[in-house]
Amino acid sequence: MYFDSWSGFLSMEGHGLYVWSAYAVAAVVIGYNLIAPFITKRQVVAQVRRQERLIKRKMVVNDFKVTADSGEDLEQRFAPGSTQRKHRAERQEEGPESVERSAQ
Amino acid sequence: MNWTFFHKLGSPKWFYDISGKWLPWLQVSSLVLILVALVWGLAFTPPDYLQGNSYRIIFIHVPASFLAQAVYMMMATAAAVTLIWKIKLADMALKVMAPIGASFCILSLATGAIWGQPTWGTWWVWDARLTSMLILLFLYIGIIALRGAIHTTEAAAKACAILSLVGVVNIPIIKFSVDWWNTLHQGATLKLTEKPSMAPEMLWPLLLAILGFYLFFTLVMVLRLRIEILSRERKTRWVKELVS
Repeated sequence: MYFDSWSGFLSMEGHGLYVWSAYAVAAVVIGYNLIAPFITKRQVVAQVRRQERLIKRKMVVNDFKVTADSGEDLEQRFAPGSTQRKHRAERQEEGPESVERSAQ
Repeated sequence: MNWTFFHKLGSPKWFYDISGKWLPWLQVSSLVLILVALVWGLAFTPPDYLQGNSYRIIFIHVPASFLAQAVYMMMATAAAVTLIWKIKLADMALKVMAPIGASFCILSLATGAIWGQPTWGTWWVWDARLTSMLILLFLYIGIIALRGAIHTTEAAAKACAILSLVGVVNIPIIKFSVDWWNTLHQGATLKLTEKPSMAPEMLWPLLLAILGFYLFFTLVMVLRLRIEILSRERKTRWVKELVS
């Protein structure tokens, strides 16, 4: 050990402020490099999971389309008053009105 | 010569699997080496006869500066591999190395400025070594910004590779700046061709610190590269299985 005491070690014969601030910057840079990968990892994992959920939802939608197009008995699948039909009906009613609105 | 390793490098999954085994070794070795080197350099080495205790900054300034330049050379190598062989992993490495290199370049400039104040009486001078190092930081920032500006992965890879290769011209300028011009910055302390001009009790902690910083760089580079692999391969089955 070169220094006699803790205070001598901290003051470094007048150069303490320079030496310790340089080492503090080094600690910040090392800390940034250690933390940054974990922040990115969390974002990437969330992104992959979101993509998985979207694909699953798409598969459900496609499933519906396939069965609907294949000429099954739609009346039986979607009894009168089911939400799907209601939406379609509403949209048709809305149609001309919304065109008018956009024209204005 | 057996070239299978080169083809394996083309497979991100292979790299992801094998690099997982390196992580614990890299963590332990870089932590131990940096701790030993810095404690040794801070508390046990004698002060410099000319600069007093301020010279203790050398144990981070020199490793950070070495890394800032070495990382750039590695990026340029990855850039050449990207352009010639179109290996995806090389472009991923190029991308993840840029912010690490930039952070060590900032560390080098900051510790240099702090060291300059007690030694030269000024934080900054526009001498050749300092200016060329600042240009290196701008190159790093330019490469990061360029990738952010181009949305297609392939186009961004090509543009960043070309910019990295063009920037290599700066590296010999940094290295020889202290020989070519009369700079305020002192000459190289360590040279491969000559015996070091440092006393062994100062030299050993410095060499350990350099090795420790290189291992630390390898550690954080591998950490980032593994995440970049997950991100780019997110449509593949193995990543989906790994994440969910």
